Parts: sequence; C-alpha cells; structure tokens
Amino acid sequence: MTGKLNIIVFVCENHALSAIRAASASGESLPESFHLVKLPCTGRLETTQIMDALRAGADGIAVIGCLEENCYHDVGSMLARGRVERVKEILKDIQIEPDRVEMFNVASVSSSMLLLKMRKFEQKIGSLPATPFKGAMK
Amino acid sequence: MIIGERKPISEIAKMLTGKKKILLSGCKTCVAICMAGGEKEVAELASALRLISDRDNLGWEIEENVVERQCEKEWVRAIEQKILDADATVSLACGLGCQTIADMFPEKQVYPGLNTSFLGVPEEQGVWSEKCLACGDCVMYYTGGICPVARCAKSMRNGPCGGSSDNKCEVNLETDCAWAMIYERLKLQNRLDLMLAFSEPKDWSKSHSGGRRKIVRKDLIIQPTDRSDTEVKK
Repeated sequence: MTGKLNIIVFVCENHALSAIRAASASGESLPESFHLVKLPCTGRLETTQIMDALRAGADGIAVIGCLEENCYHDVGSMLARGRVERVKEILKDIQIEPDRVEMFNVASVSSSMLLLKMRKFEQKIGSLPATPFKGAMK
Repeated sequence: MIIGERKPISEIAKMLTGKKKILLSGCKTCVAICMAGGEKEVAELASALRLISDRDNLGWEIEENVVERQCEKEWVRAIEQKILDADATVSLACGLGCQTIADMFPEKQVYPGLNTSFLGVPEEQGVWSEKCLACGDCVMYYTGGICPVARCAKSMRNGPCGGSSDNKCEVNLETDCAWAMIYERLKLQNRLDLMLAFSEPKDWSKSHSGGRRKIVRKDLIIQPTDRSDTEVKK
C-alpha cells in the first residue's frame, strides 16, 4: 500500500517498554508509523482490543511482551500469544489478512533486535493491501 | 457442565445475511465457564462481526447481552424487548438456551452461535473432556465412579474390548481405556470382585434412543387439587 501507515503497538510496561526506552537513550526510536499503547502486562490484552484497533483503521497491530521464560507477570506473554493466535484465526476465517497482527517477545537489553523486528514488521504491513477500515485513525 | 464451541464466525455471518438489528445473547452459566458463550465471547464475536459489517458496508447494528441462564424462561423474559426489537438473535448459549428463546418467541428468528459439544468437565485451563452421556441409567456404583458409557468409545459394559492396549483406547491412542481405569480404581478400593459381576445389556430406551425424554415431579407442580370426585352433590 502507499501512504502513511498506522501501526498500533500494545506494549508491556516492563521488559518491552524498557527495551524501547533503551533504544531512545541510544538515539534510535521506533518508526513514526508506530503508536504505543502501554499495558501493565500484555496478558491484560483482550482479543476485542486488537480487533477494535483494526476496525479503527490501524494497518497493523504489534503486541510486544516480555520473553515467555522471563515474563514479569509469569504467564502474561503466554496469555497474549494465545490471544494473538486466536485473533489471527478469526481474521483468517473472515478473510482479513492475519499477518496484520503479530506478537513479539523481547528482553529489556535487546533494543537493537526489537527495532530490527519492528522495521521488518512495518515493511510487511506496507506490502499488504490497504486496510478496508476507515475508522478514527483514517 | 454443558461444553460448547463457537461456530466459525464466517458461518454466523452467513446466517445474518440481510439482517440489520442483531442481538448477540450469551449465557453466564456453563458456556461462560467453558469460555464459549460468556460475556467475553459475546464481546469477541461482536468485534469480529463489526469488522465484517464495516468492511462490507452491511450496516449491522449489533447489541451485546448476557443473561444469567438462557435455558430458564425467567431470565430470558428480562431481555424480551431486546429480542423483539432485533431482526435476529444469535444465541451464544448451548442448544437449550437457543431453543428457550426460540420457543418463547416463535415469530422471531434465533440462530445458534455455538455448537453444543458434550457434557464434560474442565481438565485444566483450556482443556475440557466428555464424561457423561446422559444415558438415563447411571452405573458408576459398579465402576468405581468412572462412566464406561461415556468414556469408553464402544460403551462396553463388561470389561474392555480387544482394542485396549497399554491402557489406551484403539480409537484414539491419547485416550485412556475406561475399563483399564475402572480396573485400577476398583483395585485401589479393594472391590475387584465387581469386575467379575455380569452387567445385563443396557436398556437404551432410557437414553436419547428412546426418544425425547422428560422428567415430571408432581410434588413440584403448583396446581389446585382436583376435587371433582368428592364434590357434594346437591
């Protein structure tokens, strides 16, 4: 697609946000198309929030949580992964690109790797057809 | 409890073709516990249907609702106006809830949002398994509290079939052989003599095979006493 992308990033306030802050401290930052929504834990994220964000016009949704083996709230990242997978199944069922939604796990010290993954995700979203939703974000 | 599973959303959306005002009605009892038709699942279905509606310009007006027990008329009556106002109601309760609404409002269209799967129990988070067939003639006194009717693929009554191997069922090697479990349970309880007791062929007329079943408790029915035969004739 052409034009400015809008990607919603649901990010946990623990290791994931620390990684993003570490990137900022070293002079790097997430691409402009990314809009952060901070959560106390990605395990708090509901499937409805992901779908409602798509309906509001988001081109893509990234969920960034702690590493599963080192989650600040033990099982939050695992719960989030399950919900992201469930949304992907629903999107596939109703013929919306499931690739618009992706889960990422990151350690607080892995800011460079996170930025790399986010840029790749942005490229992938950019290669998809334009979102059919013209909600509040459009 | 009754275990259900949501139908594919594409299948539900197809049922709603041509409708405008749609009521999604869940149930706070069994299907909420098995995470198929409670408040969260109603909200999830609503979000997905709104995506379809916006994408395809269908103009669906979707209302979300969850009743305490959709299989009881008293609770359904509380949402009567919502049902009457809707072009269609999608029931996210089990088949009982769906039919309760359909029978109470025969002129209204009610669609099943769930496939009612079986009578079962939660084994762990996210896992449910069948344990009762509602056959109408419980035999678990003789089988150590394990139901051979529901948990044996062939509903064997007098020990395992020839397909039992290493305590597993030949129908599905991930399933424990019910009769191997019964043997171990009775052994633990020092009641192995029950393994030798012969069970008569099962009377399936008490199950669904005997047609639709009904239980009537006369002591619970509220009605005036019939005094016609004791009336003093003038």
